[in-house]
Amino acid sequence: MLTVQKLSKTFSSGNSSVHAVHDVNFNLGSGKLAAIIGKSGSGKSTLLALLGTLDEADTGSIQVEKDDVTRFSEQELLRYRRSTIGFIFQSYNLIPNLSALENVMLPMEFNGLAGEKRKKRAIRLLTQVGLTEDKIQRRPGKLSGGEQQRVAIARALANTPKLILADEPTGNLDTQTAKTIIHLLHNLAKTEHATIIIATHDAEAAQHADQVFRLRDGRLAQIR
Amino acid sequence: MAVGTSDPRYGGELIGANISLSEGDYFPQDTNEHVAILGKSLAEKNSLGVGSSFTAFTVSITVSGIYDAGNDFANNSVIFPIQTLQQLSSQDGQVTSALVRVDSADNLAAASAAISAQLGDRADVISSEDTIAQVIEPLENIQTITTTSLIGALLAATIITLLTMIMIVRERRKEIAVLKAIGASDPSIAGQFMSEAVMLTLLGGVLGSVLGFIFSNPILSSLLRSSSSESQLGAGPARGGIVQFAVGGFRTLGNSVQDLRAVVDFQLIAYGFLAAILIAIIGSAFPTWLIGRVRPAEVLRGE
Repeated sequence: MLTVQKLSKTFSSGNSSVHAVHDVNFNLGSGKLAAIIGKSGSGKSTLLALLGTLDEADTGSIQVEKDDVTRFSEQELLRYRRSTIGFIFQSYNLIPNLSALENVMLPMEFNGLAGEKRKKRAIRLLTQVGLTEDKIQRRPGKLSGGEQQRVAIARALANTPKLILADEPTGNLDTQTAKTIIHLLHNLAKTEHATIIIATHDAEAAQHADQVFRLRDGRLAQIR
Repeated sequence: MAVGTSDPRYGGELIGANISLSEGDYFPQDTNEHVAILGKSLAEKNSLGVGSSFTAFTVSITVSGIYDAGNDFANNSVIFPIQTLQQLSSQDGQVTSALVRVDSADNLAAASAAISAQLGDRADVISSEDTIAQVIEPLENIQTITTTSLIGALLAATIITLLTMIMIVRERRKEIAVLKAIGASDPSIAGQFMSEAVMLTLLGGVLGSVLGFIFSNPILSSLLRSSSSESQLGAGPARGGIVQFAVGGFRTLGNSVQDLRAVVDFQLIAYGFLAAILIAIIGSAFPTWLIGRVRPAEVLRGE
């Protein structure tokens, strides 16, 4: 489903340059949960940004099914982000003045789904990730960290993406909630037939992954 | 106040009012009889009626008529035949002002110039055009002040909107980055921020309209007072006397200017709201351009 070849990204500042991602190659199948572990600053977030087309690679290709997304135009990238990618962030990044339900409905609105269908699907997704009905109308500030991350996961699933990119999804959560969230992501990969990539510095979070990679100084190595 | 006139029908011009007789008759033109017409208040205070007499300059004067000028100051005045007043006050041949009526407005400037040439610096010659211009001057001053203020306010509003929107875009960079990451296009995010700017400026418009309703008349009165006093200081006193050319009623016009009331009509409010929308669009043009420059990867990497 996902094939990455010779992917590189270098950041330059003055005379110095940093290889954030250096000659990265890997393959992932559909419905798989992959974990990329590495220390802070190892290039995990940059790799996810490249896969999610939020940043542009210097060299290499990212093939999602049959399309090389590095060759996409701006309009194609916008459509790709809307329909194929779901993002989950460490600090949830929910829109603070929207309710949990509205946050989940937002990507569907960008994708042009009709109002009533949006609402039905958002309620179903929020129930699926374990948010109780009495909390779906609450704003993010009125939810716990674990509940906010569940909303963020539901938002990532909104447009039935083929690829979900989770950047330190358990970084702000306690151990028990982190385990629950990882378990949830693992199940979603199977039930939603989505490829999920988790970037984390926590080796424990990688235990449930089908494939595990280590990223060190921008270089990726598969360790399981 | 006592004034003398050759034609009592225009005596009101001398006391700054339009008079109409409520009792009796005007005294004849160019008479030197010991007669007078009295203002209503003065007559009531002194229990005088048509045909009764009062003493002035030790001479008995007969009341030929009583007028109502519509204001207390003019109703407390007395109007004599000019010759009578000159004789009684020992000022034969002296006049304070002369009112000249011209048959056509087209001849006003030529007649004014001819009389000025004849009298030289013995009298100031003021035509009704000059007087109307003096009366209108405060309004022109106010127009200048309000036009300048309007331009200043529009500029200030645009700059404030611009700075506010730049601040909002900077503060919400992360939200913009997240919206882009989950599939929002630049125009849709820009549209959202621009609609917020429109809402802000429309709220400002509503507040401004309410304040306008409340304060427009006090501000207008204040501007009229200050502009009128400036105009009066600028006009200066007549040295010898005044020759006035009248189309009629300009004194009343002068009084009416002081009674002007601001009216806020709905068309004006509609223009105000249109201006608010334009300010929002112009003021948020640069900030929405900044939205396009937000790179989600950079912003979210810095978390």
